[in-house]
Amino acid sequence: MYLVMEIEIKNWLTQIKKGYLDLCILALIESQEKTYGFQLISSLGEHGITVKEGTLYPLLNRMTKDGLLQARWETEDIQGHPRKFYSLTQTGRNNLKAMRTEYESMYVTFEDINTVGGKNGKSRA
Amino acid sequence: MENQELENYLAKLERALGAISVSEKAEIIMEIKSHVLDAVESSPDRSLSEILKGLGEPEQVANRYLLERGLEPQKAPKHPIVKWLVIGFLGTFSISVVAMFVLLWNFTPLVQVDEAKGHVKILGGLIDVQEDNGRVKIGDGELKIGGDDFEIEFGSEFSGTEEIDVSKVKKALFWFNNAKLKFRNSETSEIEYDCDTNGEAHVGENSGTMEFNLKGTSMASCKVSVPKGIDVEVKAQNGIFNFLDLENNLNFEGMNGKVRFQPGKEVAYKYKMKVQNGLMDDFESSDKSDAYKIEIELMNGKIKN
Repeated sequence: MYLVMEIEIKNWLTQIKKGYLDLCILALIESQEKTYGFQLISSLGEHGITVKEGTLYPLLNRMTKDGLLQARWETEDIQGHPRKFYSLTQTGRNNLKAMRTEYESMYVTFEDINTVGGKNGKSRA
Repeated sequence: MENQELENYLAKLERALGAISVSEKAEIIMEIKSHVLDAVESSPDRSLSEILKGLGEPEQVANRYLLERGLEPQKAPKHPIVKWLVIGFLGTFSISVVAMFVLLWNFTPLVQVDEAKGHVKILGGLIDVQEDNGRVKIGDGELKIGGDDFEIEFGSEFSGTEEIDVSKVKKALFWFNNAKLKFRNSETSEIEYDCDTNGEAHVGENSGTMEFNLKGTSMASCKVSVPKGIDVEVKAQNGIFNFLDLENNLNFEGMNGKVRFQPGKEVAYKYKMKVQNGLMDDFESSDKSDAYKIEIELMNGKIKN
C-alpha cells in the first residue's frame, strides 16, 4: 500500500525531495566537517535517505561550483587511492543556516495548517 | 589497478561529458573512479559490472552533470562510429573545403543544419551529411555509412597482382587516407589487390618494399590478399579495416574507425594493441618464438576479433 501511494504522489515527491536532499547533504557535511562521496552515500543511507551515486556526484559538483562546498583531494596512505573530500565554505554555512530556519518555519506552518481550526488550537482527532 | 571494463566505462563517461572543460572532466573521472574503487573494496561480493550498473549508464551520469550546470545533455549518437567516421572523412577530404566551411559557418544560408534530423548541408549541397542514415554526398560521389560500415560509390578502379619474390621483397607497405579494407591470406605467392577509389594510386617496388600508395585518394574500398611470410604495414586515416587469417607480421596505424583482426586457426600471434579512445576486445598472445607480431594502433574506435 505504501508503494502504491508513492507512485501516485511521485511528481510531488520528486520535487520535494530535491530541496530536502540539498539541505540534508549540507547538514551532514557540516556535522562530519569533511567527507567524501562514498562515505556521504553511506551516511545518508544510515539516515534512511537513499541516493543513487549517479545523482549524488553531479549534485556535489554543482554545489562546489555554486560556492557552497570546497573540495580537496586527499590520499590516506601511499597505497591508497585519492579521494575528493568536501567541506562547507562560509557561504555554505550561511546558506545552511538560512535553509534550516526556512525549513523549520515551514514545518511550524504546516503543523499549524494541520490543526483543525488553525490558530484555535484544537487538534485533529 | 588496470581494468579494461572500468576504463571503457570511464572513456564513455569522458566522451559523454562533451562540453565540460578538460580539467573539470579529469576531476569528474577521477572522482567516479575513486568511488568505484571504494565500492569494490567495501562490497567484495558485488561484481564490478554490478557496481557500474548501480552508477548507471555513463551517458546518463554525464547528462546529470550537464543538467546540473544548465548545459544541454548530449543526445546519444545513433551510431557512434558514424560520428567519428564522418568527422574524420570531412576532415581529411580537402583542407580547402574545410577552410571554406569554417569561413562560411557565419553565413547561415550556405550552411544549413537540421540538428534534430542530424542533417548538414554545406555549400548548397556540395557536401551533404545525413547522420541518421549515414549518407555523405561529396560532389558527385557518395559515401554511405551504415552502423559500423560504409560503402563507396566512386568511379575509379585500381587493381592488379604483384608477384612477390620473398628473397627480394620483405615488406608490403600500404598508404591510405579514408578506406574500407579487407586483407586476407593469399594462397599464392602474389599480392592481389582490387580497389574502388577516386584520385591517384600507385604501386611500385622500392628497396625490398612493395609500396601501394593511395595517399592521392580521399576514399578507397580495397580487397587485398597477401602471401604468407612478408611483413605487412598499413597506414591509414579513417575507416573500417579488416585483417583475416593473416600469416604475416602486421603493423597498422589508423586515426578513427574500426579494426577487425581475425586470427587464423592454429596460427600463433603476439599482440601489441592500442586504442586511445574506444574499445578493444581481448587478444591472447602466444609465447612461441615464431609467433607473428601484430601491432595495431588506433586513436579513436574499436579493435575487435
